[in-house]
Amino acid sequence: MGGILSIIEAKNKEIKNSSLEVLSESQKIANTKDLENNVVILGEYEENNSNQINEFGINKVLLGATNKIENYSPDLYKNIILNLIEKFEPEIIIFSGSAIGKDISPRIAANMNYNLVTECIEIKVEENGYEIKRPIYAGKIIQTLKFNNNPIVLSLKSNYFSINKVEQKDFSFEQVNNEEIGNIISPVLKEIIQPQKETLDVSEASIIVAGGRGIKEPENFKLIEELADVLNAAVGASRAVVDAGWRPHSEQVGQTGKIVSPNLYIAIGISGAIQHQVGMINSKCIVAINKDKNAPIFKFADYGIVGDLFEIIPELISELKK
Amino acid sequence: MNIAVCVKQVPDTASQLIISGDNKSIDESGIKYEINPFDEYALEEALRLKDKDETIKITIISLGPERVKQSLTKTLAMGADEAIHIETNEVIDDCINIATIIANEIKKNQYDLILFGKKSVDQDNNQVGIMIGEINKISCISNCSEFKIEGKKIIANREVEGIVEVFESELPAIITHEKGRNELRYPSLKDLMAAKKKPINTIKVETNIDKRSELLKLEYPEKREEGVIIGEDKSSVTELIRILKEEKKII
Ligand SMILES: Cc1cc2nc3c(=O)[nH]c(=O)nc-3n(C[C@H](O)[C@H](O)[C@H](O)COP(=O)(O)OP(=O)(O)OC[C@H]3O[C@@H](n4cnc5c(N)ncnc54)[C@H](O)[C@@H]3O)c2cc1C
Repeated sequence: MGGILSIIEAKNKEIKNSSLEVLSESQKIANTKDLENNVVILGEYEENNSNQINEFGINKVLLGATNKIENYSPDLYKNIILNLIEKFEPEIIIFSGSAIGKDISPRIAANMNYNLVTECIEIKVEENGYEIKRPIYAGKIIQTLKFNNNPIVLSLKSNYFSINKVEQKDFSFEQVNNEEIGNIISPVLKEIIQPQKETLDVSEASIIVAGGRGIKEPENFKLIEELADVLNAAVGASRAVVDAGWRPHSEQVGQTGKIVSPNLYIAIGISGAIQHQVGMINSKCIVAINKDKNAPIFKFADYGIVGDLFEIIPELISELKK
Repeated sequence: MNIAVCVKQVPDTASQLIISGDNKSIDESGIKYEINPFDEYALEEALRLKDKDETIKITIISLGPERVKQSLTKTLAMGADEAIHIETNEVIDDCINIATIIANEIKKNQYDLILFGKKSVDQDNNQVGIMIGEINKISCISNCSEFKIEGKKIIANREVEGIVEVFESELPAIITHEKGRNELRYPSLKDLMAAKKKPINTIKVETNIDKRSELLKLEYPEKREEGVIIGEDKSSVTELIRILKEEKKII
């Protein structure tokens, strides 16, 4: 009673990176507080593939009926997790900030009447509860919240935590039952549409090459795509070019798009408006290419080139190809 | 068909936010308030349904202090039929409590479709709409980029992690909406005048809520240092590549 329940996702039989972050953080909490850490793996997974999760000090790994199922089902996932909460009575339930984590964690919290704290960036164990930090106002401010001994549900900010391993400990697998205990009301997944061509998603890429209105014509985005290709990067976009219909919303970075933190963000013909800035300011290295030396982007870029992108980008591509 | 759209009033995204002396609140003095952008996209989808079918009734629901009325008037000017203001002057931090209050209000009427923005851009909590679905036992599809209604069914797309998931549900249903594909409409002065005649019902809520979390402090994130301009033309490209390769080792 009173341990941790870590919710882990697998895809194509691999544990997702965002879930390894959960294992790493929950291990730390378990260690500080001397708690049991029980882990449930949801999504397509095989037991003999356990080397990925070996070094996180796990006590028990539970397999829901989903380990043979590829696709997400809110009701099924919800029931498996609610059953485990009933069984283990965890004091803290930790999700990743994945799309599934974002969708399922509020369902669990509401069914249990627990608080849900999303986008956590720091979890500190205190004598009688937890102190949690999370960004608000798109990261303009960081808040610290204190939770006393009531059980809570957390979800972590993705791509934020480093993955720390600890010494191996033996753990067992257990198949869990799947009785229906929550509301059976959720929508049903009918179809998955794969992208026409395999592209790297901005939220997962370690390098992003982003273009803005300075590109001038949708066709000129070929330049951005070519540079992204050479760097094995994802293509990002400002809202100006998404609203103009030049690029899909899935590429938009910023307040009403994606919040990203790659190792390298190259902003090309982007002015750096506050709503764009909040989406990429946590990138490890920011490079800006803009012909206006007073553009706001130069206030927070690590490296800038002031000049015409139509001269600089082709040169950059050809130098990188050498 | 009855549609409810739940909206929240938030500081304009361009606001510079100043932490007050108590380190626990934002200085409200210079702030302009707006409708949460994701809620506006959700409202736009409702209005487009109404554009095609005048019999659709759109009710706006908002929880917040007195100033929220101004945003409600804007939604009425955009084309909503009526608004419900759940008035509270207390800041309610715990989403589970917010969800419970709004869920109770929603229960009072038969809505076929209830729309939310996927999250509010002030607290970035990303959970209230989904929680209300569970509390009121209504099917919820979250983070939708677009949806369509076919008879008694709703079919909605979620663009997640590089794929599109197509979900289907019976009505009544809850949708939490992403930034949509449709351009937002802006009310004219005439619309704003006409909106004054539409009803805003104010409901006061008892707020002897059990507070479950305590806000300890607010702080600014670490500031990024201003970087360097490498150069002013294409001759700087080699230097940039050298830095990224040799100093930073990121390409
Ligand atoms: C509620 C709300 C939410 C928003 N959400 C987002 C969001 O999520 N993401 C987002 O990006 N924006 C968002 N915005 C919009 C934001 O305010 C800006 O309007 C937008 O980011 C501007 O895009 P841009 O930088 O591409 O265009 P501009 O601001 O027009 O900048 C173009 C830049 O290109 C440069 N340029 C032009 N020609 C060249 C050339 N030949 N070579 C080099 N440089 C050149 C110019 O100097 C200029 O700096 C939001 C706004 C609001 C109100």
